Amino acid sequence: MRGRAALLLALLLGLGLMPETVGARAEPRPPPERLDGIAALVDGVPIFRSVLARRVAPLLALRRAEKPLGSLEEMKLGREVLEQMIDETLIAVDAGRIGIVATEAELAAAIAMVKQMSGIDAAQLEAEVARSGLSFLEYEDLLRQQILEQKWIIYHTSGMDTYLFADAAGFNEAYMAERQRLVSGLRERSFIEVRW
Amino acid sequence: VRGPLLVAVCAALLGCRVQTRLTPPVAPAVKSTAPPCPTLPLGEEMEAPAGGYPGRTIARVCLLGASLDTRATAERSLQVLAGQPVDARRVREDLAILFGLGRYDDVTAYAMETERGLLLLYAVRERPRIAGFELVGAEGFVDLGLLTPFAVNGWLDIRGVHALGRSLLDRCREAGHLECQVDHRVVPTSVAAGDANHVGGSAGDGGEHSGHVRVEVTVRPGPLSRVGGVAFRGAKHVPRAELVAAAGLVAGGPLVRARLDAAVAGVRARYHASGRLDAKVTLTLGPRAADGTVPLSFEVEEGPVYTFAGLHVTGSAAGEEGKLLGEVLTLRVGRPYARSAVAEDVDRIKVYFESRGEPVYVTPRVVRDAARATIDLSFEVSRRTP
Repeated sequence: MRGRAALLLALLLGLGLMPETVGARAEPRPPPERLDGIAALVDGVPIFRSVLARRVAPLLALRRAEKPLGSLEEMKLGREVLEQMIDETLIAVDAGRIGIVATEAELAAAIAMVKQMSGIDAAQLEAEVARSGLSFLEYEDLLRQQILEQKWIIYHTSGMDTYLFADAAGFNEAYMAERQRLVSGLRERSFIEVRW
Repeated sequence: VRGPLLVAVCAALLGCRVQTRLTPPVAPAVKSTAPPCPTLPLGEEMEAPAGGYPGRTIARVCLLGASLDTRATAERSLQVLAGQPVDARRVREDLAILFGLGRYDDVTAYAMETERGLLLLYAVRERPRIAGFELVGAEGFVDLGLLTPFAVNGWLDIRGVHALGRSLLDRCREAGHLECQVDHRVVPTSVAAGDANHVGGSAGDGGEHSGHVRVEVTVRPGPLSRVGGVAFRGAKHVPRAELVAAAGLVAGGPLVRARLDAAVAGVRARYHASGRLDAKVTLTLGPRAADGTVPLSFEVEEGPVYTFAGLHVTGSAAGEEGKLLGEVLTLRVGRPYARSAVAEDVDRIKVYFESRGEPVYVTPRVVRDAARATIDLSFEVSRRTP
């Protein structure tokens, strides 16, 4: 049987059909560089490293402009943003389960509001977004996420008199406390795996 | 000469069936110039530079870690091909596609320089297959639908184990087992149950699914607890019957932690609704009696009743404030705050304007003065496009 295999091997070599991993001459192998991968899994929904890096980049640039950052500080910032993205994913999944969506009309209204509040036109807004290091599509995704989150919180707090906290500080405090409470509930019930 | 020779060798040595009419190969086999794919493990790895490899052409795309079971499907799914430039977005989409196949626990993309060009590597880690599944102590708590992912020889998705555990815990606690615990173990096994013919692994690239595992889920319900006597200490201004209704607890019914939280929120909401916006409610559980009943005690600090110090209409209806406050709205300065009354007046403003064909948004805004226990309420009105 060994003889048969050797003959077949010789034949294959003659025909140039050997699998390359077997027949290839050993080449010096430089270390592979990771292009992308999974930074975290939230109930099976992956958050990719490349998306995380895009979200961290503008914040890093801002912080670096203030003072030089050590690698530990950069890592800490990345972890904070990842935790934020995990919360966003949890909210998005729960919102999808309930049937809450951010519509294109709401997105357009949000962009119009940003322009109006900042006193800038469309071209200036695009320039500002580009300066932050985000593409306009990424910026729109962030706005969509904010709209979705607001609708989701309103949905879950329909029994709460949010207007009772309408003085800005009190409202913000109540809003964040409620968000924290709701997200904690989601985290408790979810399967989150951080690999970053 | 080689064609007939191969046939002859094949027939003589391997017992292949020789067809009477042989078709020569369509194209002669040529040695590939593409760089070879590396094998797993890749060893030392580095992060790619921030900009990646923009515009660099990919000499070859390699899928590493996939067994024969999954390789063909995975390779067919990839959209980035040799000869194309590196595009971070499309690489990410490929990773999402690979992960979405449901056969891999992890997917990673690498770039690797070789003398013959740039390699794009997709490294995957296969999920193990289920050799056996055991569920202990779950009688009465199990949702059969959640057992579907645990078919023997199916791919293990650890999320399924988590979902089953969560469901069992919910049902167990819902039945009144306050201290219920659910544990799971995923144990590697050497032999696949009833899977002697299973083909695992692929040649050369380290591609081998992660073997077989046995999944064990155990429920430990603990003692059963029921709602015992319910007391409301410090409650003076709301009748007990209303507080019991607001708490929504049934004496003798199963004691469920989540319902206790809802009960506290319900009692607090009852006080808020009647203007006691500072009311504080906490719940204390007494010791569990031999019959499983647990006495509950709500500690209530009622606080003052808030009254309206000012009422306003702002925004697009500011010009009609006098008429609205005097003729349309029922709230009055000096009266106690009541949640339902505010909601009703919001509706009255909407109806008032809609009857004129002018739909509006109405947002109540308040300024609370905790020291005086007063509320200054404004109805902010804005026009809505029909």
